[in-house]
Amino acid sequence: MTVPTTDPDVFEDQALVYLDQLYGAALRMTRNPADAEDLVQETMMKAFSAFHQFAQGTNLKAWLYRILTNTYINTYRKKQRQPRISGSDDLEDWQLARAAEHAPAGLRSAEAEALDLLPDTDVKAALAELSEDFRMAVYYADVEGFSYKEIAEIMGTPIGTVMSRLHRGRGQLRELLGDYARERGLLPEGDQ
Amino acid sequence: MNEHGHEPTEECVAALERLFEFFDNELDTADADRIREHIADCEPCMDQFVIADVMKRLIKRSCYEKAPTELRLRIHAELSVMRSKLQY
Repeated sequence: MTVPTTDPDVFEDQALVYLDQLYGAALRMTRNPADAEDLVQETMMKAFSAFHQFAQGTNLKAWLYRILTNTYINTYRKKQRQPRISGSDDLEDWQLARAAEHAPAGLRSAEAEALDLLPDTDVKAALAELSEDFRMAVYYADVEGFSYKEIAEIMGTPIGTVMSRLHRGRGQLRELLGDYARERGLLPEGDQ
Repeated sequence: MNEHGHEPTEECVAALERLFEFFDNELDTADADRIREHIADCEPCMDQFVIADVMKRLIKRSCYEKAPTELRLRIHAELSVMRSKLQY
């Protein structure tokens, strides 16, 4: 290749490939389309300006997500409402994720079937109820398929914190989705 | 009735503790093989894996978004301006 990949002329070709994904992540972060658009635009401008610092052969997508995350933290987070479920990174209530692991066999398969029937709106609403750190850890792992190491880099935390956020975020999400499934009559009432 | 479906063994506890790491392909081959063998033989633990998988597919499906065309155009226009400033 004769053109170095940090050439500003190739930035657009390389980075805009990820526009839909960045917008999806921004929507999960801000929970509001207008803020999500502004956040993605600002991220792209910052990434363009910093493109000469991007290390060749490393992961452009993860690099863009890191800029998105930092931009969000610095600019938008102050405006956000407090999430309903607060979350710290303490390991103690990893047990939360365990609560549903002990249901009798009939309920476990009913749960899997009920989850499968939930509409997208319920899933997005449940995600929006998680604390931001839990929500984004789950999003990065399950939607984007980033490794724990990549998530740690994007979120600027140790891998252990990523694991804790994933554990607790998935556990809380499972409980919330169970609530939605019960409200829709997809699961019997009263089975926690 | 026992809640796990059977008395959870030490193997169940060990497998459930690392289930997400296994699910997310974060374990080395030896550790992953151990958990894979266990959940193949243990239905309650397998169910936990299945639910993690159902949730992942559900989240993926629900979170697919397409960036608005207007945003794409706006970024393209801004980048063009920034590029022209770099060149002259």
